[in-house]
Amino acid sequence: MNPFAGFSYYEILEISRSATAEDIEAAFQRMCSIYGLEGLAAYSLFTPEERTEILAQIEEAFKVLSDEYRRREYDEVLREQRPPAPPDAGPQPSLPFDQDSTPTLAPVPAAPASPPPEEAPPPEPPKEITGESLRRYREALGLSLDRVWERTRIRKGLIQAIEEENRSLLPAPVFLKGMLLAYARALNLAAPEAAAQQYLDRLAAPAS
Amino acid sequence: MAASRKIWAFGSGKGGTGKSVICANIGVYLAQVGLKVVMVDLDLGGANLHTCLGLPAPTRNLAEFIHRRENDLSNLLHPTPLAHLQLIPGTQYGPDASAIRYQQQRRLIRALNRLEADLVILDIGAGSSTVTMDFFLAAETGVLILCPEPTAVENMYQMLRQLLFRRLRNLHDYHRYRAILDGLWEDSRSQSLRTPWDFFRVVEEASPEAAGRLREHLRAFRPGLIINEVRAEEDRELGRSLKSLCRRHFGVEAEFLGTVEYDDSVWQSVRKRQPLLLAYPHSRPARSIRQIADNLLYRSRHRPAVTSAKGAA
Repeated sequence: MNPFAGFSYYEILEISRSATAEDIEAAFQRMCSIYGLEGLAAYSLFTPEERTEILAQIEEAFKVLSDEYRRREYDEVLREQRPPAPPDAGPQPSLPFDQDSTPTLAPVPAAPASPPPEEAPPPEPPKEITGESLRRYREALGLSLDRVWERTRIRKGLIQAIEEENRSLLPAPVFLKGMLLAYARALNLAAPEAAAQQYLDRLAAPAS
Repeated sequence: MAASRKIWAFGSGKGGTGKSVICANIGVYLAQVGLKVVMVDLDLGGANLHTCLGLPAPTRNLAEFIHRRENDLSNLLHPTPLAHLQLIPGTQYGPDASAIRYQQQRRLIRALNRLEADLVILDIGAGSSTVTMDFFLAAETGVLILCPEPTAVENMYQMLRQLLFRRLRNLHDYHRYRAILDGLWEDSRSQSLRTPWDFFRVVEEASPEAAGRLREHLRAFRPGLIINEVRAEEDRELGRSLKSLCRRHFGVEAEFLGTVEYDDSVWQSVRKRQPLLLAYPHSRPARSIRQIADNLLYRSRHRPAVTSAKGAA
């Protein structure tokens, strides 16, 4: 995970928006010594690759802020409340949906004939874990998205994204795993870890 | 458990950072300036605070209280060379900290809160066992001591990380967020979430409500940092750097309280079995320790009260 995700250049250098050229220079030196390879303080917090990435971001922040023209441009952008444009800027800001105004992205109709009659046995947990099978099982259990939210505190939109396997809305797999575990437990699946892993493996495979 | 206003705890992620020496001398200084101070050696199994204060190993110690052979903690107070300073020694044999049960610990913390003193100073064993962390978190002020060495820094982060999550688990409505937090926390142990701040970001994404609650709860957690055995000028910078990293990657506002120099006077005083502040009051480390203690006093006075109104004045 990018340790500076969501930080502005000013935040990366830990300076105020009104910092002078000298402040910026001093802050840059300081950050280089904190995160540099000899830096004792950041030792063990980051891998060498992460450090390299961090230093590149510090340098980028310095380059922009120490160039008067580019800084003014950047300030404009900041003022418009846009994130500081990472190189592979995705189409949406980091929080694509709110808690309650979940976009309904063309819900997949449930498979017919699944609603169980009164004396039906408890629903069979899915054998193959997919977004679709999770959703079906959840619905068979009579659990609304709201109920899952109550049990897990995972935003409804994210649960929906999990069920829709909507890659563009899902966080990176390493972070997704914890959510999947919570979700699997909310569904009382027998082996939540295995279920989470299966889902992740499926997601990792090239989209069919 | 509510943080107590008059307890200061000193911990360390790793042994050998000079924690007990600093702790003893801070106690000495505070007694010198007129506060009634009780020092408690909670480095159970490896107690040596008595030596730092120039006392022989006492036979009656904390083990008496833990094993209920003594119910009144104040009967275990030992006098020291300073009139205002008393010591409750720890055990050198017998149970180490990890063997203390939760109930025993609660009972001890309650008793510590009832001691008649302006200030109770806890010298907590190194490392991050649950018991260690709970003593640390029970204090009004928790201070971590480290040396400018990679190992000590690494262990300091580990301890801070454990403290953070321990503190979060003490959140009274933790159960509301249990499902999501436990899952993510498990995940974060597998290194995919390297720092607590990464963890918060993921929580934020999954549940802004839970994230808000956690942030609010963490705001009051402000551990102090002391860097001991400083030899080079850049070692002093370490404090500032750590503070900055704690804020950015742990979401914790640590307070850098100061550095203590590496100096022969320290081991000479230990060799003489006298507190540094009495043996070499004019040495550089002695001056630094006094300054740190002043910082702590200042901080203690200027922090918003967090305790319940149940105080025995």
